[in-house]
Amino acid sequence: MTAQFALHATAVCVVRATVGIIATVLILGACGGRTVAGPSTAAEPTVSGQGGSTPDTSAPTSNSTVTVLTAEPAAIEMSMAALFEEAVIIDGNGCVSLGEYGAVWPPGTYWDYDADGLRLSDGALVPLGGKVEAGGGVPGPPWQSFLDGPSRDLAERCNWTGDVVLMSVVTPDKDGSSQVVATTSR
Amino acid sequence: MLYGGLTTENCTVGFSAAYRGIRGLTTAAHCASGPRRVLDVTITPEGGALYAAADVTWYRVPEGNSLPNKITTDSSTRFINSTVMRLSLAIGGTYCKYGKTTGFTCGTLNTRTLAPGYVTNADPTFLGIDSLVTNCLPGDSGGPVIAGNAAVGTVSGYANDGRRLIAMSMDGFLQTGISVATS
Repeated sequence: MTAQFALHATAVCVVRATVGIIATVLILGACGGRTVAGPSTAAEPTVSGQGGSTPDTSAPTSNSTVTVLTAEPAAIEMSMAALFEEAVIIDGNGCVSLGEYGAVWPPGTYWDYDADGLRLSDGALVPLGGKVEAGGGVPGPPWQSFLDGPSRDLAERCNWTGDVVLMSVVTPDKDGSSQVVATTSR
Repeated sequence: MLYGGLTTENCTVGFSAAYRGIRGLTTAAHCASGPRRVLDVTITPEGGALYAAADVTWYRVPEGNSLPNKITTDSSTRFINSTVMRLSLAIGGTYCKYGKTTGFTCGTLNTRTLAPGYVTNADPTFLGIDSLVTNCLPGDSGGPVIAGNAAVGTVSGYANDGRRLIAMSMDGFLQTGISVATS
């Protein structure tokens, strides 16, 4: 890890400290030795990873990236109609989750490293710890069958064993915890 | 008193129904595992499936709560007095549903053979009920689908921006051994 990356990671942690209690918890787990690596510009792909290696789930890993698993478009042509109002978090494996649930996000969703938040397919930005309203549900197993190709290669690292929500639509919560920002770097 | 049409955290209650001789409540199986809250009462999942013809979970309700065979549809109440199996439903007929997000809406049954991809090894026994207006949106899952005072299924999903309601037919109840209360 370069000194530049270390500085970047420190800055990210400072920014996260403003998000609130949820983010504070994440800082303890995610910033203690784990860096948010990646380019200094917004990430192009919807998912990112470290070549598919399985992370050590017992402790934060170094040089890990934020993983966003996304759905195959055909998987959400018929959508489940449950509603989840949860916060966007990064779990101990570096995977972007929906509150207590594992999360398969709609196509086009990705982690914006510059903004340090989840960029939705319509360009809206949900900061770490921000709440969303997500339509979908917990599909019948195996949940990995609903992933697009790149996400299938990365699913193992998330190591989810509980409910995993397949989302067809996600909107920022109406309380203003997220913001719509014009997307120029995708 | 608990009954169909009430809401859980993220879905809608379907019907008062019996499983293994015990009356409880149903909602959709894809609404997540674990206990749910209905009118500040915690209910516990025990039966059901998200497999083949089924997208339903049966919940045990604590003693002391009555479970009449009724559903609420916004401002009105209906007592469920019968059930109609899938192949007895009329293509082109009008069927209605209640869900906590879109309320009470009706549409036309255009197919009885949908097989949603989110159901493991789905049987083509789900219903497609179409409307010119929004018929179903997130939060409606599990809600009752009816014809008059007859139960015909429960809300499962949607397509076409919500203009198509996807409903589990009574086949799903039959498969899982859950029987909708009609008295």
